[in-house]
Amino acid sequence: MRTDLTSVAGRSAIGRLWPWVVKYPEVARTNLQNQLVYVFDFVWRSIFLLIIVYIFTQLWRTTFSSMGMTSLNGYTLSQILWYFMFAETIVLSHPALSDTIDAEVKQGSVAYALTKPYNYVVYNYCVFTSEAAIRWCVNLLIGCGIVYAVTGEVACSPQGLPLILISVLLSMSLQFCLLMAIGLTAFWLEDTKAVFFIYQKLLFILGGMLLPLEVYPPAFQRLASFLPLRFVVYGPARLFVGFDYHTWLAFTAAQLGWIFVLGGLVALLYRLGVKKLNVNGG
Amino acid sequence: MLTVAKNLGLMTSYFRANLGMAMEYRVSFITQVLGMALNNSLWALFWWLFFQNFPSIGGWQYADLLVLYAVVTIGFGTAMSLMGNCNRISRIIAEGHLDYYLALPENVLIHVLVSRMDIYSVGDIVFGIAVYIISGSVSWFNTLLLLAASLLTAAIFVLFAVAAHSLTFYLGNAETLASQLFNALITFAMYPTSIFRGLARVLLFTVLPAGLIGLVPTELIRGHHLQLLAFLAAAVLAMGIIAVSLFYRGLRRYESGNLISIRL
Repeated sequence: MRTDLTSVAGRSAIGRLWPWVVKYPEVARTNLQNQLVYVFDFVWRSIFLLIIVYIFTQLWRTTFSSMGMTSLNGYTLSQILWYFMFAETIVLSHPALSDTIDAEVKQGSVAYALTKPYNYVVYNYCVFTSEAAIRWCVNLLIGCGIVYAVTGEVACSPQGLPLILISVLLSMSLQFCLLMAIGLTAFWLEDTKAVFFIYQKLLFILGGMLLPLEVYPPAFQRLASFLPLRFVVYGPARLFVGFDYHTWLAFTAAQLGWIFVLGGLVALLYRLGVKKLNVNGG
Repeated sequence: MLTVAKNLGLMTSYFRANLGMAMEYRVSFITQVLGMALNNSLWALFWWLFFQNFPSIGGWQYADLLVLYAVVTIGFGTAMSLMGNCNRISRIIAEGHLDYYLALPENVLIHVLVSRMDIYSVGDIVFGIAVYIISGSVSWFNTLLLLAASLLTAAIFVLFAVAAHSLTFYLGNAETLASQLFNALITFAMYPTSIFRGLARVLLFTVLPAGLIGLVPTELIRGHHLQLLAFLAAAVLAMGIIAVSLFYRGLRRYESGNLISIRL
């Protein structure tokens, strides 16, 4: 699948704004079509989702029964499982962006991107979100099927779904900024894998993927409240199992604020990094 | 006996060479090792937070989980440090790189396995030793048991990977399938085995031997049931026979792709 972006540019007459209106959405659309070819590959990769949801079902069932609990900080067993599934789909849906950027920086192929008629960061954002969106849809369908089969009930808030979709899209944008920043540190570090692994585990814990943040001791809840990670996972997952409009509004404002701050950081890292770039040979 | 000594010599030589290469970039090596140890520490933190709310899960307490993590991470780290190619066998077969190993007068399987070292896994070993120390189970006898259990666990990791990746000889490139199986093995091994019951428990001691990696060594160190060590050794022997047979029977089906490759 190939689209001639130059001809798209030629047809457009909206001056300097045309890349934002035509070019980048075209990049996203093209990548979306490319990814649709691999949809069965994503289904195959969802086996991990099946395994991890099964493990956490067993873990929470054993925990609830051995402690004789009916709810945990306001979450019933079903809600906790639906929460976990939704949080897991967000985390499992992101492409390996930091690995890609890391490789492009180390191999020098980032230099080719600099000569192309697009902004490297925005181009990667379009590719990232389109791929993440497909993966998320596949994961969500499979995840809902698994949790429904296990719990026999739908413990989520369908009335808020359209607004939750916006939360998920903002979560993907936030995740893009974080992963892009990690990938761009390859301009200074020899290998960014260790940084990614640590980020990933922080997302699991302080982002609220493994446990809803309400379960943590107050000191950890305070620590999580200073970080953007909870708006990547906890925010959308919390809204999914218990939607209310005011919470959605507060989460959305915080997500936009963090995207603005981290987007600025990514732009700064990119500018500084490109200045450090040395390209040898052809 | 001579063959065992020869293979041990090959393993030692490769380990020295791989470690030497990794140490060439000393700062990167130390960063990666510490990064992996920190990464694992965050798992230990998650479980600490979990056990703050629920002191016992199916009879398991936090200290038991630390012992489990010690065995699994030291075992995994040892496996990947000594035989880091075990998870790349599918690619080596599919891309025709096996030709290189077939042309040399060494044991093909052992040579494939030892010719690569995963640097990050040294961080797993460092982490495993640290959690063993803070688990409160430290004694001379327990340390010996931990050492024996970790070596057997390492053997299970390698043999399972060999068996899974050998499917490439029979099914075509089975890299994704083998990776999924290996990831499933690690994932199941990192949770208290007591939460799994019925058919799942049977599967965890047979098809996907996560119970052998997680529950058996932990029970061995917790309860000093030495018969479990014998059971683990027998299981490793059985897995060894299956994995090695799968590899060498599959090797008969291998066809060279006439690929010219250079190893640097």
